[in-house]
Amino acid sequence: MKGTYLGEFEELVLLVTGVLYEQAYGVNIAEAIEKQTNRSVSLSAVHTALYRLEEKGYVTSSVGGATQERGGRRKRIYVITAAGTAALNEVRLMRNRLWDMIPGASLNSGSA
Amino acid sequence: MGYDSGSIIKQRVGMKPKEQPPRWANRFLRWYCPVLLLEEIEGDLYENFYRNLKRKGVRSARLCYIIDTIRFCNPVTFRRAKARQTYYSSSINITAMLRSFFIAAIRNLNKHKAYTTINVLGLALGVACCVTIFVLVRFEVSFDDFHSKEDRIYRVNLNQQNATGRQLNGYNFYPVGEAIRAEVSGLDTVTSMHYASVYQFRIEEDVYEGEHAFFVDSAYFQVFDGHWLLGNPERALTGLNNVVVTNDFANKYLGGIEEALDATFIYNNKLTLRVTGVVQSPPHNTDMPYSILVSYPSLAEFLPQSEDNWEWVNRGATFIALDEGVTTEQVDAQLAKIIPKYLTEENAQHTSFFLMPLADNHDRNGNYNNFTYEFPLPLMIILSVIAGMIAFIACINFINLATAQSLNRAREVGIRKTMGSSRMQLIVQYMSETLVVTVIAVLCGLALAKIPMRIMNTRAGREYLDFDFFQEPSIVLFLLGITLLLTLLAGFFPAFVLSGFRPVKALQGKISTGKPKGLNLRRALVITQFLGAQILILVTVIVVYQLNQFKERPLGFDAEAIIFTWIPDSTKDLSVIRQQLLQNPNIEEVTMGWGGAQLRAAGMQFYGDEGEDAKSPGIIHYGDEHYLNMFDRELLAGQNFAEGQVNPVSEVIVNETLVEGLGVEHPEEAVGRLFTMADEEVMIRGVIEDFYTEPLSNKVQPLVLQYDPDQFKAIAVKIAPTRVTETLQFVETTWKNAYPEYLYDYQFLDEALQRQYGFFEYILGFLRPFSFLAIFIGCMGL
Repeated sequence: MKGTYLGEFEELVLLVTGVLYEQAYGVNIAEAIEKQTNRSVSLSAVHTALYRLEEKGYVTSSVGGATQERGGRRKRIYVITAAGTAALNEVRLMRNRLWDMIPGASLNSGSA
Repeated sequence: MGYDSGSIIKQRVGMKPKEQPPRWANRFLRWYCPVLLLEEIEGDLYENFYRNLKRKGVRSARLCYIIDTIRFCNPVTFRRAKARQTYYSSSINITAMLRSFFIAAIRNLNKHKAYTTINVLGLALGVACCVTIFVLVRFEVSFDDFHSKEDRIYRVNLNQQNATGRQLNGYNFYPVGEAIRAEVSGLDTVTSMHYASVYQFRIEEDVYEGEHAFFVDSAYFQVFDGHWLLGNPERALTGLNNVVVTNDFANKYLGGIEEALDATFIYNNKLTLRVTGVVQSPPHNTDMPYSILVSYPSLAEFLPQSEDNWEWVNRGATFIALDEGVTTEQVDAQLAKIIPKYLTEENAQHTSFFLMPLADNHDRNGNYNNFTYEFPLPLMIILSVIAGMIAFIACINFINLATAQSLNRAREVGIRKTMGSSRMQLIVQYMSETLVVTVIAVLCGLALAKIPMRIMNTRAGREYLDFDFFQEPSIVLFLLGITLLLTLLAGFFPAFVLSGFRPVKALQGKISTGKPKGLNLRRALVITQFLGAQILILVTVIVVYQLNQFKERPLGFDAEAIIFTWIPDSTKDLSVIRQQLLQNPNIEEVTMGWGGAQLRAAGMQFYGDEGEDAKSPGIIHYGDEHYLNMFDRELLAGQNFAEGQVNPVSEVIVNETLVEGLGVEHPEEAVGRLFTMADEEVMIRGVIEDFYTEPLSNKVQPLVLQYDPDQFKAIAVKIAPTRVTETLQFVETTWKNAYPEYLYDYQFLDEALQRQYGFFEYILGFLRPFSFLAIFIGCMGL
């Protein structure tokens, strides 16, 4: 397995996958990211990220149902694995640690 | 994956044509995108397109679609496809699929037991034929291929030109080996031999008969491979009256290998041989299946006329092994120089030598006087074709049964297709089903093939046909090949038809009512199948009919009443034994001679007044004054041989055909005429009516009956049909009294005549069961 480092966009995709729970597949994820972050995301970027995450073992996928608007094609639904959850948790813990270490003065000057 | 999405969307959603993703982008996507990823990517793109359509309008959606399509064409896509592929193939999908196919195959075969039995049996019979013929042909082809110098060994053959054409002979003058040794360079070794197909030998008081004795010099084992068990390979064959025996001979007659050394026995009542060595018996696939090897110097004593005789060819052969890198052309040129040097000027003109590779010795069709028997290449081809035909008929059978049965399976195909099976997968499924059947059939066929092989082994009296998987890769390859070939041949068409059913129709059950696909082809196949069977039957009938014609045509005498025994020693007075035999009232006639009836006799050439240019071929029978009475030949003109006295060899009795050949119209006119036969002038003493002289032709050859006691090799005895056993016993006792030191042997004339049909009987032995099989297999399919 490749390195387990979680890139920023990958983290985003992973989080959204968790948010969408059982409805997480290519288009939905892209749309959710667009909605939540207001940034334009290309489908292929999402697919690439999902592939990397799958490679790292943070998500698994299975073939889901087809809908009419997909022209009868089946979706590939992604689900976070335990390893994915752990990775997200670690990132969050590290962030929190870092947040806690920032002195109050510094924050204030930053906002000003 | 394979359906056309565009049209489905158009129908179901009822969009205007413009409100669709651009076609070319779609086509581009399908072109580059790996199949394993296409569905999810295409689905996402579509979904995205329709969302964009609602939000941003057609143009924007289309543009976005195009950009995304291009964006997906990146390395990650391909890497992803690859990863998924290995994931599938290594873990579940392919093996699970194949396993499911095999389970389905076995269940289906189990469900239709009668159908399966017929299929397997038909194919098994075909396989059995192929395996038998393969083993047989492989055995015959392998003759003498085990010698380490095999590709350098040649037999020095004789080519004698005469009026009737070329006469090629594997036997050569006796001193030719010695001459080659002196005159020809570039040779590794030269070995000369003399061959005796049957011989008698005496150990103390017991007389036995043996087969295949060779007189060989000590160079023999430098040319051919052999394995010495005892004795000195260099010296064992150099001395006078030495003999090397095989381990089988030693064990059977001399009480063991160790005990054999220095034992003595008497060969053909002439030579007292001392055993100087023991070698391993040669394998079955050799034309030199020696049981004993007599030292070559002994030949001068056994056959004095062989010594330095450049005019007489009997049963002497010479083999040479070339030096490595030496070509036959180089040797041919030197061989040509021997002829004028050693032969008389006249003989030299129409004699030449030529080299025949050892590999040609066995399968060459050309009366080259091989030591054992020839198995001509055309015969191998005929047999292979017959076996192929049987296998083909069995395949057609399978195809017919499988396609006929396919109608019952239309529903299964429909369901499988609805569940998403591709055509390719269905083909693989039905092929694997065929494979299961073929494998079972091949295994059954192997077991079945043991039966004909055992029969042939028993008939031949030796274990020459067999196969061993572990030692012979050729048989394993052959079986794998035949399994694959049969699977492809038999399985392809049914698989193709079955997988071609349209699911909707198949599920509605419409296929069984309609005209099944490939009906014409199936008809054609059945016709081909029966045509093949017909041909085999026709050939069989023709051969049987023809053979019966020859067998059943009138001989003019009762062959069942005549027995033959042999004259081992022509120096004894034959009239004495004749008188002794005639004392028995059940013995009606006794004649001495050689040939007679339709038995093969000596060939000769004769010419009349027109001179040597008008030479034509004929045959000679040898016989005394009782010959005509024995075989009921009617004298048309002239006289029989004089009774009770030795007739001159220059007075002969001829048949009508010969008289015509001399240009004489009436038999009466021919009496007293002179003509030349075998370079001697003879006079016609009598003329007899024609009879069939050839066993396998309706031609009548010009025939001469000559009174030449030197050539009398057989005693023919006509016995009365009553008390046959006692009469036979009487003949044996009388013979043994006359020749106490020889082994008695006799045969009925009708049996001897039968033996002449050997080749045809051999082919018939295959044709009869095969044509029956062909029909049988064909009928099974109906």
